Amino acid sequence: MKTKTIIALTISLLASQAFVSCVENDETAIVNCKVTIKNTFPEVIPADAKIIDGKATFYETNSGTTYARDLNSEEDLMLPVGLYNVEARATAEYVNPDELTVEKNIRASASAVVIQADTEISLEWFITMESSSFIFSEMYHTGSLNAAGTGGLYDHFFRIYNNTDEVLYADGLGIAESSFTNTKTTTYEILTEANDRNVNFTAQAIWVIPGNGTDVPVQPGESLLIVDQAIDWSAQVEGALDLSHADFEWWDDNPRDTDNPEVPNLEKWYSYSLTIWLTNNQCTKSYALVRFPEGMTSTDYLANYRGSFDYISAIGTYMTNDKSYLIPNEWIIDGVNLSNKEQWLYGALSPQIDISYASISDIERDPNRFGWKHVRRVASTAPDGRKTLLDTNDSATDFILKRAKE
Amino acid sequence: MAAMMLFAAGAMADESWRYSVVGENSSNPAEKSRIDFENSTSVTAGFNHELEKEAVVVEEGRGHNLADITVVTRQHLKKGRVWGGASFTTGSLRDIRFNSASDYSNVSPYVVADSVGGSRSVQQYSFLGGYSAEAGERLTWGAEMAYRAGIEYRNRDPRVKNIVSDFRLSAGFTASLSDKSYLGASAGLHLYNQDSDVEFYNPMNSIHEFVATGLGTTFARFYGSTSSSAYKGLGLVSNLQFVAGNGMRLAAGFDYDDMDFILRDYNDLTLANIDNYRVRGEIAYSIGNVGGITEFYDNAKIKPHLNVDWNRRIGRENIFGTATGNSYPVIGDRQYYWRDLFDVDLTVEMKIPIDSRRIVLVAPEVIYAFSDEHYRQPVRHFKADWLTFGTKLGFEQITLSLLKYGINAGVFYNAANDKESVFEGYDVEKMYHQAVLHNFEMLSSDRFGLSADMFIDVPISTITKTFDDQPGRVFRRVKNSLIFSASFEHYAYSHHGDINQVSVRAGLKF
Repeated sequence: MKTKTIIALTISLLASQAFVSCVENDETAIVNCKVTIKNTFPEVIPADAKIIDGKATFYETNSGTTYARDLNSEEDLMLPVGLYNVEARATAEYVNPDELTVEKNIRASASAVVIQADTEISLEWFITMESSSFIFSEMYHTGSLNAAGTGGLYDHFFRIYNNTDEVLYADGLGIAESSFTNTKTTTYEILTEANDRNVNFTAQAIWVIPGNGTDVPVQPGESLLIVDQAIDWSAQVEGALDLSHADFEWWDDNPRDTDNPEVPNLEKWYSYSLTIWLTNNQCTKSYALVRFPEGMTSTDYLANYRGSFDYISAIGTYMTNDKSYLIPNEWIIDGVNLSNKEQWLYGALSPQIDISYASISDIERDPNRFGWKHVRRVASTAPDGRKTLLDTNDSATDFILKRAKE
Repeated sequence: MAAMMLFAAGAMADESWRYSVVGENSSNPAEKSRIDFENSTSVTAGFNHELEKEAVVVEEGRGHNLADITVVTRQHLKKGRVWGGASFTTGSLRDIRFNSASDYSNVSPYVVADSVGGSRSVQQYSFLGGYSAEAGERLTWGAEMAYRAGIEYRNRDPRVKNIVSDFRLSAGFTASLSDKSYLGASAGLHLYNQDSDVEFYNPMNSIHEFVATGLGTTFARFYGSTSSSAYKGLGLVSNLQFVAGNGMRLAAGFDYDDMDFILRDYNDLTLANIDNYRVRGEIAYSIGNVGGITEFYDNAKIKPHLNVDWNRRIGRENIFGTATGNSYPVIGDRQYYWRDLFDVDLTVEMKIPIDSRRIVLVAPEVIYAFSDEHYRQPVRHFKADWLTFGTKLGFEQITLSLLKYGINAGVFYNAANDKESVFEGYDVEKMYHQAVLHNFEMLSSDRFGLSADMFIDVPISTITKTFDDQPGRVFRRVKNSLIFSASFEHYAYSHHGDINQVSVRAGLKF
């Protein structure tokens, strides 16, 4: 064999070892790979900030195993080969320009991380926001199974809950549905900067509770039921919901919609649909609860927050979507990403608003999803019976599934 | 000895009714040319009922009702010997849960499963054919082929439909070392296929099918979304035999099966692989000769034999990266499951002639066996062993009219120990977890067994032969006979339910 060939083979061998140097545990036969974390902090935190009390959970999607790791450990971070979703929490400690030591709670997440060899994972940290206001307490988008058993009815609803200990006013609150889908089925690359989820929420439907700011008071621990069609669906199909006593309904001026005159309608600021707006019954969109700036009208909003965006589709075609509007993240008081476990990719909401997603099912288009609603967990109950619901901006933790008809 | 070997296996009821091929499946078909081989054909119908008050293995169900029609034949040809059989079995398997596949003992732990399950109907055809001949003065050779095809189905949700095809081919030779001793070797091939589908007709169905990966673990990624799966297996079989002139027999065998578990719903994705290794050994010794009624007995008066059987199963699950469409790239694998089964069985069969037509059979037996089953993450480890003592007593007679009958009774006690029981992540509300613990409780329970069986062969016609050179000597043998046999087995598990099994068989032998 020629010397050059031997050298080339040796280099190839060494190179292959360098790229794939996971270690098999002799006792357990589990192949572990070394994982290094590359931290990217938000602008206000300097790059040399120190991470303290850092914890990360790595969820391996094949086996369903969760590995908890200490990000401050002296030991190498080792994980078995797999496909991971990562969630991390930590405190960033740094010295600010006034030479004061500052600590900020930060979080990060990453999806579909393949660990097949020694790997570097990039974590984009953000500062966590604590919320105390109106929140989504329940969402029902799948609908009750229709009489033919082939799909869901439109007995969809949102329940908005006053999670504080004071009276809040709901008029002026908006409910918005994302333009982007959270699952792999619609993977595409967004080219327009304004649609960055860390800046704006890109919405394709926006409905607002009418009023002058003090018309719709909601007592602490009380809620509003906002439905698609405020009718008794159980009269059509046994097991469906009676929504005739809802607080509000969203009504499209279309023959396909039904208007209950006894239930006030939401104001339709925008909907991409030319007919009627149905919430996404596959539960793969995100929903935001929006407090618009005082005095803002739909005319002002639609004139100034157009959110058309350019993108490259999954098959590589250059496309434009002009049926979207932007909602600045600072207007959002609550938001929930929805998905199924199989296809989850990326939340349409900023991770500051929701770091994860509320799952409807293990698989895409699960026929068993009909009749199930997302319900927020109870965090505590006051002596007077008022419940404080869990709101950690982590929908996977905050929400559980329950039968819509209990 | 089936009843005793049942305890050695530790848990299973007699599966031979469910999954065996018909007839005399040989470890080395070439040996057929070296043993007593009388022309005979039998046509029989049989029925077997088994009821387990508590399932010994939940995934295997709680018993069965099976009926069969079986034809078995063995004939001398001009130059060799031929044997074969065909059988049709039909019936039902009772209350199978957490397993949608057939042949659980072959394909476990990787099965599509649900918590509901139910009974199934089964139909199975099996065929066997073999040929053996001498090749020169010292050599014999033989080949044998066996095929089993079966369907199992359930006509209510979850609607299981499994189709099994199981093919075995083996060939071997023996070579004489001296007048009474020989050496034999054989090798074989095993091809196994199973397609398993689950359907739901109820649109309100809330039963989730999941992929079980052993000891209560599941493959999380495809949870609830799998309905169509398959198994494809290829195996190799090898055997060696040495028979010495002094009555000693030594035999050893090694089997290897490699089986893929495939999810049809995901573009025929190979989810897991099973490697199955089996090593068998046998030492037997034949002392003395009963003589006279060898038509249905081996000749030995005393026959101690020691069987050793070790089986290791290793499960390897693939790990998949990000899917592109319905294509899932394999990025690695993990070897999380393995199981060892071992048993060593010493039996001394003693045949005590009372006279030339009656014989008493005594067969004490002692067995040590263990099962050691692991899953690595989450950590699950279940290990148990057993010591079984038993004996069988029998009496058999042939009358002057050539009517033959026999009756046997056996009693066994099995003292079990649960050596290790680790169940990380046990969730008391998960029925599947409860099933795993139940299986282990049954496996590690003391057991007491009773068995009784009888047979009777009633001659319809006989052949009488006289010898010109030996006046007065007359030889008579049965030409056609009615045959009937029945057996009953009862096993009582300490603090758990009993198993009762009854079988009857009747037919014609000619």
